[in-house]
Amino acid sequence: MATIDTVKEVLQENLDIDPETVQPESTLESLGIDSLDMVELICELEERCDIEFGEPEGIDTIGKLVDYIESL
Amino acid sequence: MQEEMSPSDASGAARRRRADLDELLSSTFNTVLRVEERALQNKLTDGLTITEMHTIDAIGLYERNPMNVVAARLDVTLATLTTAVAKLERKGFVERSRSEEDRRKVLVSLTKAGRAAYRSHRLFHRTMVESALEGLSDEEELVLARSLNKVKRFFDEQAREQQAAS
Repeated sequence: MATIDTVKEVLQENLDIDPETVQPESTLESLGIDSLDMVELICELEERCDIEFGEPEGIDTIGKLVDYIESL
Repeated sequence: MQEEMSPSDASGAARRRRADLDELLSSTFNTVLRVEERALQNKLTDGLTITEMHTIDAIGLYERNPMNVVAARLDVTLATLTTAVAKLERKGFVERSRSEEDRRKVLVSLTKAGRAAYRSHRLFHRTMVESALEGLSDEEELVLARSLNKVKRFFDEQAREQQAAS
């Protein structure tokens, strides 16, 4: 599955966010994702994608999140 | 420890300042603890005490450590840690496994829920420190860090002496 689709799926399952509204340029803020939601999201993505996300800073859009995961 | 002698008016002011600092140190310490305690009541850390949160922090995000390593980090006995870890394991935040190299060795690591708690705790500290220091200039921040370091060294030393005596 493409990373963006995994992200969409996790967002829908964990935070009830409609996948239609999730685009690479969407900011986390515009989707109503706060820093605590982000923590939850990261831990879920780590398990699904079998990655170690670490503690990066400056991820504020879905596109940056996807790029970062794919760089791991 | 002997107090330094100074002119009487100056020493009055110095004494008052000392009293203020004494009050400031204790009340800051208490407030930080209280704020931290309340911050633990979020969806990812619900049901954890501060001590448990710090145990999670000492276990490390991706580490798999022998119990004695974590006990040393927390400065607690192995027995104390074993009790704490058993409780955290029941709550689903940590897991124990046997080392592949040495089957007698028990390794402790965080589960997904444990990593979420670890991260939200770090997030809390980062946000807290940033907000708390917002009103300080770079120079003030530097002086604060340097001064607190010296004060901390004294307290660390006290703690070591007390432990050695008991």
